[in-house]
Amino acid sequence: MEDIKETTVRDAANGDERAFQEIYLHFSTFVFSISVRMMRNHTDAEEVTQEVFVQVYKSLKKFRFQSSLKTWVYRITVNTVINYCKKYNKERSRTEGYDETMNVQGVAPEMEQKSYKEEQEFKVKKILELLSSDQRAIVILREIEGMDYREIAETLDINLNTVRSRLKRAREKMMQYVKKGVI
Amino acid sequence: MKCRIMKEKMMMGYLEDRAEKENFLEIEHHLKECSDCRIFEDELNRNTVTPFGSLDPIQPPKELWGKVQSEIRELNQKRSLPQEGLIERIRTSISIRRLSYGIPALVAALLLLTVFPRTPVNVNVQTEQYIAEALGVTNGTGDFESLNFDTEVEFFFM
Repeated sequence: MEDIKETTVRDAANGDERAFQEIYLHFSTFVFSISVRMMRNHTDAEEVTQEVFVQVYKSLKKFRFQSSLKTWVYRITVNTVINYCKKYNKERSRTEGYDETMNVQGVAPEMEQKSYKEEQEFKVKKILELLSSDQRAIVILREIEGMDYREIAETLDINLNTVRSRLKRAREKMMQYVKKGVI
Repeated sequence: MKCRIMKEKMMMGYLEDRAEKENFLEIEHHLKECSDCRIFEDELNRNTVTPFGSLDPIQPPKELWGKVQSEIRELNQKRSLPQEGLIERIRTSISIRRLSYGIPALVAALLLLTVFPRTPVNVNVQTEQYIAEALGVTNGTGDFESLNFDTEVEFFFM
């Protein structure tokens, strides 16, 4: 994905709505895709996406062009979504007493009627639900968005070793669930 | 032992990262010799990599821009109010990027505020003598002209 022109960023920071719409159109698919995969449903993902762009708009004046706009937007996206997920999970565990294993096993028969693509989507959703929000973010950025490890480290503002150790823990968890027959 | 290390490295993504040449080549070399690790690599790919490969990006609903737009219009309206605009400008100019930078800065500022006012002003002995002479404390004349001030500034500060 090409980065946005500096003049567009400056115009948007000064309140130019058209310039900001350009930024929105450029990044909205990424932001929404991440939000959908991190959250459990589209309604929450829409809410998070909206929050991300408001945050981007508010913070554009602080953007110093030291990193690329892409990395900066990605960082705001992932941080906002992770915070939202943590808040959401806390509320959910308080109200529902959520049991992830039961949940996964309970819905499995639905897969039979789905196309291959839908089946994959369904499987991914279930896998991601089993991971913590930090692990989920790493897996999404790596496996779905195709980022390399350095880009992930930059986006999440963590070092390369943390990226690798989180990825390792996520993969260990996925493998354990496979062995247990959950996935 | 070696297999365990290789499996851990594979899980850490070294096999997919050619930039880490040494680790990549080490695993690749090991895989040629070890069938157990090849099976593990296959399982790892099948369960933790392949399922994600065929997914399409998800487009946001068209009406979402409208929602974002109305929020930013609201923000612009707030910004145009003189009081709100000033607060935001102050917030922008003093914003600290990370808490980890902010705490040391705060400690340093507090330290300066506590220590600095209490530090006595060290006046050089020669300067003290010079002033005393100028004021005629030692020789009793108090003749400022005899001190030969070279500049207006020197005279002013005397």
